[in-house]
Amino acid sequence: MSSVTTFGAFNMARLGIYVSSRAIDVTGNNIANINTVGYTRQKANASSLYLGGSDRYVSMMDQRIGQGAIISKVSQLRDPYLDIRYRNETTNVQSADTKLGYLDRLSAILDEVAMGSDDEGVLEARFSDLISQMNKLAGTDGAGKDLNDTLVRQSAEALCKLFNEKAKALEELRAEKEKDFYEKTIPAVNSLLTQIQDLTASIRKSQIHGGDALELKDRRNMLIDELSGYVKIEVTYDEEDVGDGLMVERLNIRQPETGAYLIKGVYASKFEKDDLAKPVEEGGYPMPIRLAPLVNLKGEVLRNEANECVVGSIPADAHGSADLIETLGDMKNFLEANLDSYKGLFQNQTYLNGELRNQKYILQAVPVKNHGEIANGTEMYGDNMVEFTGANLEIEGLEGVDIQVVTPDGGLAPGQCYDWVIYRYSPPMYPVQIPDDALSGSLQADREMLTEEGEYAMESNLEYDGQAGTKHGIPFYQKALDTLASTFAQIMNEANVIPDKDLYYVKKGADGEPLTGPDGGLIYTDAEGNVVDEKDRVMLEGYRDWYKGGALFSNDSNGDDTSNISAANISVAQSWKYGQTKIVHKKDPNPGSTDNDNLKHMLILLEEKHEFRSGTDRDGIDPYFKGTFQEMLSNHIAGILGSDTHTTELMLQNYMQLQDDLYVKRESVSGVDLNDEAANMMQFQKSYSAACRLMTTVDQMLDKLINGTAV
Amino acid sequence: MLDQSVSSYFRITTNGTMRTYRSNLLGSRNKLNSAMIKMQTHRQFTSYAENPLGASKAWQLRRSIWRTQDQIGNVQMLKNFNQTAWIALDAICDGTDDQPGLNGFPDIEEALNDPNAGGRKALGKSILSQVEALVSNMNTKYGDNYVFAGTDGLNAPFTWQGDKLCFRGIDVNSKQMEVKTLEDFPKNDGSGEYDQDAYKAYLEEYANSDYGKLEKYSKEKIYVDIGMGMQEDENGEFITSTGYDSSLCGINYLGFGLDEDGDSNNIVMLMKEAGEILSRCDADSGAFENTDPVNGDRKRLEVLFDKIHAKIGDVSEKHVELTADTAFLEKTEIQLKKRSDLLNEQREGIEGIDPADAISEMLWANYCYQASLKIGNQVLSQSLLDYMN
Repeated sequence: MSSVTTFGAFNMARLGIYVSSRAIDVTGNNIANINTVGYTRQKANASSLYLGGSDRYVSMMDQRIGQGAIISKVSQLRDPYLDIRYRNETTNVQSADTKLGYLDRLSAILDEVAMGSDDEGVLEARFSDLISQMNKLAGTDGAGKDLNDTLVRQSAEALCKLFNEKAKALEELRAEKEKDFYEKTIPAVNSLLTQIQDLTASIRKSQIHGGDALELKDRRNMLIDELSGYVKIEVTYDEEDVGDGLMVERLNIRQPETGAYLIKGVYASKFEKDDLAKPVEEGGYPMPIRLAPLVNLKGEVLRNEANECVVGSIPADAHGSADLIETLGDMKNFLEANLDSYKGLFQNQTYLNGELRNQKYILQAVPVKNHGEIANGTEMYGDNMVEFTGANLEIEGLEGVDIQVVTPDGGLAPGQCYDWVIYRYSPPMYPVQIPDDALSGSLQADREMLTEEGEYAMESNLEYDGQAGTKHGIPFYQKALDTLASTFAQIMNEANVIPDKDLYYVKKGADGEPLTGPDGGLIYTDAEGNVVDEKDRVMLEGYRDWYKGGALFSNDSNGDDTSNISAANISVAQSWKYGQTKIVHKKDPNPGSTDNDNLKHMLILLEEKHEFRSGTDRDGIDPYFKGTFQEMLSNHIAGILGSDTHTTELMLQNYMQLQDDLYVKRESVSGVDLNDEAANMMQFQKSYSAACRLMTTVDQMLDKLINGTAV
Repeated sequence: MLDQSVSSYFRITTNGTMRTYRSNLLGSRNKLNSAMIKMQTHRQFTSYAENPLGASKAWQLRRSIWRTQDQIGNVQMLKNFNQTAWIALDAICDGTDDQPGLNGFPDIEEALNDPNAGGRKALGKSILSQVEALVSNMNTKYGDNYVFAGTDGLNAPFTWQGDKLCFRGIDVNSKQMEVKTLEDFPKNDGSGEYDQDAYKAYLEEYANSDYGKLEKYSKEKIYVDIGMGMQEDENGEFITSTGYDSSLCGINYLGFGLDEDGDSNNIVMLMKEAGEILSRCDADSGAFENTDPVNGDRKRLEVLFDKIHAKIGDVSEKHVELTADTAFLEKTEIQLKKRSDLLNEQREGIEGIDPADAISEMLWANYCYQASLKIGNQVLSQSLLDYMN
């Protein structure tokens, strides 16, 4: 009975006391942290202590028994799958919430339901008032009266001011949100990444020294939950060899759409403005951001990414020693001839939105030192994490696969044999440009609301975001309001002007049509038909005494310039303001003083449907809306905004409900339940008492043995 | 690695319960808030997002109501305008206390067979006075506008230039040019085609002639929107059936140009000539100045009186037409008001609340909220810890 020791039982009892005491500590910790946000309940894992191996000469009569219990570890009860689901929902919730925040601010500017006197709206009411005043002017007793012209002008001035105010409010909103994005949101995300990195470093250190750092992990999980609201993330854990065979847990957080790491162990990236991206005019997308290289707390950049991605090689003697691979052509021919063996290495992977995107591959030529030896490929990166500029290789049978060739400095030397190492270029090399439609979460919502133009998106926009034509951000509403103002001004101005060819004496051809000069302009004459300069042109007799037509709206209240009118600058033209221009009541010569033909026409224009064009180069879009001016404002612009807001509210409610459900499910696994802890406490209290009782019993036994049997 | 031991049963934890409770309490509070806002604003929705379809329809209805109010304003103005014209025509046709009307104009027998032949001169003077009154009535104003001026409402339509009565500066007795068609301008080259340029020049000459201008004035229109769907066709031409022509042109009532006998078509000029003939009669004997049996004053007077009576019929007809127009406007006003009421009702149906429904909804929301608050005291139930010694 070699396993029997005198004081073994004491040890057993002692260990039992320790285990129960520790377990009660864990239970107490759980109860104390019941209200701690993010706390994951802990469990003391006890395991039986068994010393000794299997003796070669063990007696068959010997009975091996355990030596007590120990707490092998204190673990957290957490369901990683629920974490994934909860974080995915958090991404959706924050995305919808951020978008709704924008839409609410836009609604305060553009949604006129229940606003204004008698709920008639504000800009909407101004339009209606303008129509009423024009109606009075076009009435039987209205035409030809300066008072009515003045009333129309005053109504138009009020309309222009409202356009200006709304445009200004939209621009202020956009500028404010963009500033917040770069100065608050991005730094907030980067701060989270830094905090997670700090905690990871602390957890790693603790684990190296044998601790579990469970509380730090809880804190880190909370930060990861918060991060998931900003951007969609993929959280994985693997093990890191810290030396001497010691493996510690390593946290990896990746951005799924790009595959780029945000956190890789103690290395963290950060988001920053991409000032190297192509400008919008050259086909780039607005608000480009990128992920900076992964750095640790000391600022050292994470290197050698691609080494993890060596997927194969073509040795120099692949053909046999009599026919070594020396040139690029040799290698290419070999690869094409043996494609069946190598094709499996060159596989495409899914990157963004389900689209198949080719991985990048690098074929590095390595001078052969010894046959079959592959040289270390770290040199090819050097100190700068920059993109390769090697030649692209076209392999028959691997069409569409991006393969770059990298050779040593000076190229392939004649007579030298080379092994070819095949690297899969993944994860992406930093800095990683974030595509326009990646990210998800509130960052993506911010980007979309600050940049998307909906129907105003050009063909080039669709190349980096196929859905760009259907997303409506602040720029869409700005441009739509501009289109409304400019179309309104253009139509009204055209209606109030008689073309020069009908207003002045001009040279006409035999067909009665006006002739044009070398500059493409009209040739003005006097009443006798003599050619004169434009400044000396003579108005036709039937218009001379009364015609005061001209532009009614301009881009500046101090002038009559009608170019580039927008909602921000639309004004009543100076000439109209000061009476040099009047509303033309008829466009024929010698009209009656109360003739209202043109007034009637302008009234009809105010209530008639017009085509509104975005100016996009996409086919089949323009005109993107056909309706009256008021319909464009209240039914189209406000309608799109209202529908978007309505949909986003419903989606947010839905996502929040799902998030709540998942939170409760997660709590049911990780949360502290007082009943559970009370039962545990009772159990461990009893086991503690039992261990103490065991000790007392053993004490009595030994006392008997020692004191009762001694001589 | 995180521990992956997951409980196989669903645990209800304190935090889980509190989260659910808070979430539902907020939802209940939101519903109460919405119900309260409905009651206070008397509106079903206060933003586009709450009811996009309803908001869109409501805007359409509001615009229609605003237009209808404008149209009612137009109709009321037109009614007053027409009534002013009617009163003027009434004075012309039926006369006033001071002045006889056209309907009392004597026939030729009465004028010629008057036992007191000396009354012819007086009759002549009376007719001349009536002419002045007629022209004065045709220059009636409504506000700043001359009622019978057609499209030149700011200027008096009828003026005297010597003996000539002018409408907008053109002699009403202007002679019409020979009327020609394109067939009257064949090309001289034997091609059988017509000379378009010559025809165009003829048309331009006709239009610029005095008669041509009068003819143009008589056809001018002033269309006003009274709810007939005023619009233009795809070429930008106004569709005349969609507007109400409010233009009243004086020469359409009195006549213009010369008839086939070369006499004036204008009743004022006919009456003036008749009055002058009668005014030249001897005051005592009533003898005509020109006693030629064929071309004398008597014969001339017979012709004039026939024509005057025919023209009086025309004027009376126009007077009746104006009555019909005014009645049409009154009916239109009633219809527009009904339409406005109907549109308002429809709008109210979309935007407005039913007070009974709204009150019930608010009471129910308040009840649910109070119940949620009461539950709050019992959300965190006792646990095993409370029963342990």
